Amino acid sequence: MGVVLAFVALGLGLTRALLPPCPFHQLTGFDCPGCGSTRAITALLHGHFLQALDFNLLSIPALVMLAIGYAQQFVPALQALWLRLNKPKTVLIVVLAFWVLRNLPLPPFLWLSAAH
Amino acid sequence: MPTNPNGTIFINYRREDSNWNALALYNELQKYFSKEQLFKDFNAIRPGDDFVESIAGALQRCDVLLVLIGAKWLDAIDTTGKQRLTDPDDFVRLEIAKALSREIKVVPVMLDGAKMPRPEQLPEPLQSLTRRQLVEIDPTRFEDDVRKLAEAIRRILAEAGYPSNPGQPIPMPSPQQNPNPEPLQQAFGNIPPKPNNNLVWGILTTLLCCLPLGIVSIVQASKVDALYAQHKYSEAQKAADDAKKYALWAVGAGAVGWLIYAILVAIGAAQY
Repeated sequence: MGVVLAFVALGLGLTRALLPPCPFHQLTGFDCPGCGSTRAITALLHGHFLQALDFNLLSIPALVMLAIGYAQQFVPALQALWLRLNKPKTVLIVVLAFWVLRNLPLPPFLWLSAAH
Repeated sequence: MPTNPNGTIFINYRREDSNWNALALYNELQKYFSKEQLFKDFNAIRPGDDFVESIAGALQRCDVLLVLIGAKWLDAIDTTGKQRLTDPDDFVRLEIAKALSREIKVVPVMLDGAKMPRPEQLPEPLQSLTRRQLVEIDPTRFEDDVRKLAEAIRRILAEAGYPSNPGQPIPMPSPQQNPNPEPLQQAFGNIPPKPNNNLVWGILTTLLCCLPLGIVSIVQASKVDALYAQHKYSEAQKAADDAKKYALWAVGAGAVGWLIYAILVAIGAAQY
């Protein structure tokens, strides 16, 4: 789980210019569920919450889940909360729905797209 | 108990401490040794035999003494409230002291998480017991632990000059022996803990690395709970392992992709 910390350090230390564009996006032109998350973290590190959600709506919920999922190993008080959050099927459905919806070229869903 | 051409094993235990443990061990050891090689007080004494004489005779001839030490072994008291081990006529003490003085192999077998007492807690004739290599037997790993003990006893008997292969090979418990272990585990309450479904890895790779391979990881994670609920413990464990494996592949693929991208940028083939 040092990966999480490494990821934050990455966001702090590097600008997104150093990171490659998403290969899925490069190949297909569609957004993947993770597209915009690097920009979202960068925005978050600058304190721009709404902008982070704009780049990737799931970025903040994902970071919160990761933080709780990681911390509950050491903080028993968080285990009950993690048990309620740890629903892989729900996560799968949300992620797949997000993947489809953010690629729909219709007005209410355009906001979900990573690009602006 | 006659001398046995394959060597004999004496099980020393205190009734009020390890009655059932001794019986379980006695039965389990019969997978590895013949009944004639094992001596556990009344099991080997025929009706009419003198109890004291039988024990003394068996000790005279035994090659290995197993000293079963449970949680109440040290502090057991007699009807007058005196610690049994301080009584010079206590059978347990007599047997151990005799075996130690004969310099045969004495193996302390620690049960129920009991700890070996310090030498000063024991009467003088038993103090060297604390220096003997001990074996721990835990009920959750009973068969494995007894198999290790049996292997140790075999080595001791072989060193003492007994035939190393007395026509009774050590059965090595293997998964194939029990084609359907899971219902058994269930029946005996030996249910493994639910494996970690590694969902954090799936989320991490899917949403924060821009890698759809992480989706596969989440799919695997979602199987873990269902398989576990169906008592398919090994399959649940495998799904959990797969969830992690695919997430790591996703990270690996990302690293490779980044490397290719960096090289392409370096040689000017891709736009930065």
